[in-house]
Amino acid sequence: MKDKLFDFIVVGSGCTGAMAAQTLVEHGAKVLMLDVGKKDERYKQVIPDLDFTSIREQKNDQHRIFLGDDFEGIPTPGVKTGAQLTPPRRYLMEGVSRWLPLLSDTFFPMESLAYGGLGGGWGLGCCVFSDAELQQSGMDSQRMAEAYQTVSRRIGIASASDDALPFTSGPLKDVMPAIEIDRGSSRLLSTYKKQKKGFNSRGFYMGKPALALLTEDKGDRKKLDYQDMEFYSDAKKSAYRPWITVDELKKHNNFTYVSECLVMRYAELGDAVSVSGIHTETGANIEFKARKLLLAPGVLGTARIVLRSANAVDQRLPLLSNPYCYVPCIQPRFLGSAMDRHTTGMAQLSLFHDPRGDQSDVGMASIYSYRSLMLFRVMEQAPLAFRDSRKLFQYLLPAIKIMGIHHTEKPGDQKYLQLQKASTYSGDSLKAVYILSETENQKVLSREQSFVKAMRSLGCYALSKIDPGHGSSIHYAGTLPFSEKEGMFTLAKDGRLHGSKSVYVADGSGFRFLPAKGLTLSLMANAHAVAKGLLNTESVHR
Amino acid sequence: MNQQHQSEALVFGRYLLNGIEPVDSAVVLYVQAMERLAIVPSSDEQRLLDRLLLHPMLLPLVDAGLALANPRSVIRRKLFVLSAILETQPAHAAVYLPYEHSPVQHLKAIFSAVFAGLRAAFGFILVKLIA
Repeated sequence: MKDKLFDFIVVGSGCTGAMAAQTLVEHGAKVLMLDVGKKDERYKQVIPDLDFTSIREQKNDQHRIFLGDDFEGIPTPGVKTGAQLTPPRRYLMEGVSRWLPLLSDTFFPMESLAYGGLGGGWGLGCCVFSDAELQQSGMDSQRMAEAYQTVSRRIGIASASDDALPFTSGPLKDVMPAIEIDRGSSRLLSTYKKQKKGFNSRGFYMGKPALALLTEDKGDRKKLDYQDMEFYSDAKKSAYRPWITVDELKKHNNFTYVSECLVMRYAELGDAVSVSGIHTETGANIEFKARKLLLAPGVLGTARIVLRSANAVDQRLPLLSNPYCYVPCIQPRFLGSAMDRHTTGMAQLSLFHDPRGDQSDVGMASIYSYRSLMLFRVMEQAPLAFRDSRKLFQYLLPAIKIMGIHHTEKPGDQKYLQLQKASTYSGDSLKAVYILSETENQKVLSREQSFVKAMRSLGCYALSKIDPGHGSSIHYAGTLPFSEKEGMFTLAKDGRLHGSKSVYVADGSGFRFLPAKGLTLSLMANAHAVAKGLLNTESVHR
Repeated sequence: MNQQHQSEALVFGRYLLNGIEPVDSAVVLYVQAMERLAIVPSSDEQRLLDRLLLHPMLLPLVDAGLALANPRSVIRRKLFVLSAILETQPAHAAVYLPYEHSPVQHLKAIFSAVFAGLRAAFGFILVKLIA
């Protein structure tokens, strides 16, 4: 395979790699996907096809799923990025500390070497960026409009025609009916509808979220069965995960998937590009060649590869990450009530704050009910004896709503990445600095207070605010910003790395601005657009 | 099986479950967890731990006091791990899963919350005195 010349090498099997590869493969290109590809081999088989409550009441070996064989599901003290991952999802972070060294006192990101990348833990929220947001991000509205439709058809999106629609799946065709929400969330939504005028005058809009979660069967993927086990199992493929796409691509003769390959660098050789990496099991060096390279290992991974390939040690790259916090709230009406047996752990509602009314600066809160992540995770937070805490949360749980608040994000002087020399296997380490300015902090606080007030008006009261640290939104972008001018470490609109002939970036590295709305759908749409643009300029060898 | 960890599981389990004996499988898992997670008390914490195993009636106050005074103490960590294990036992599911409260149970829950706060305050003083 070393001497074979592929049309394209795609690095990474996450949301962007999978989407770009699908576009290329469907058009007949010879595609090689390079990936480390960690998988859950331990828990997948032991998760029963039962709803959460039935498992809790009946299954003697449930501790394997909820706590893990090595008790890795019992969180260590302190709130950390990724702490919420359940044992069957821990594979998403496997090997990261060894292979993706990162130094920081201010930024705590989550990266993945998993088959399907971070998409394996995606919250499934789908939002189409408005024209204003796309413009600020440096993307072309027309090009993205087609890409959104294509991606939406591929992954399957459930959405409602309500006040959230203009912020979520607005222009998308062929969406499925929205998910059913639980009693507490229905109550919040009906209260909002009664006071809609007041909310709208303050710039708030509430509705059901658009989710990449099937409410109708789609091929071999089954519709959501409301077992509330989405944080543990993907057995029925109701939730879109990128590995579903890669599994399908493997059936094509013009697609080759190589796992256990960590890409280190590339070198351009005339009309081709050589990609070298390390075999993560044997440590051997490996090399592949293609006419074009599409980088999609995630923003931090792309930064490592590009900086290493350019020998640009100490070069600063801008870094964007949505500021994020979560706010546990209480809905007194539901204290001490029974919980719906059949529900979903994914977002129940979306609340948008658009104070200007033009979708140029929208804040977003996703509202969740809390159950399947277990009582013990919240009991530790209360300053009470565990026995008292257990009784209290058994009473409180049906009334708890978790509001996750995302903020918009622009570049700043104190938000950057650098590749530094270090005594690691690769001889380097990524350094991240992320400090919000005073003005940004004030804006974040003010918006959080607005969301808390809005929830209070809906009869849902904030208990505390939990700040898991910068990087916890798991939304990263902006390291190689889109630019009309040729310049080092920037991207052309079509995703080509300026200064290169054959290297394209299909992940979020180019986004110059991050809307507060979830970015995953836009990442996938951009990846498809980059791949499609490449096909238009390349004559593909069939 | 480690005798010390087994005793902890039984004493802590009875406390967390309001006097109900924890099932054997929970005790076995607790002993395994203590070995895998390597939760090792300091000599001061070991003395307090020994005292609690001898006088389990002190547990509610010490646990509540530590929740305020030293929430990351080894004793709290051990109680947390056992609590997580008990939650995954079908035999004990009913004391963790939410249920529809009757009006009397609502009142009881409110009184429990008030007592929990008082216990935390008294426990805090007790822990400070012990320290």
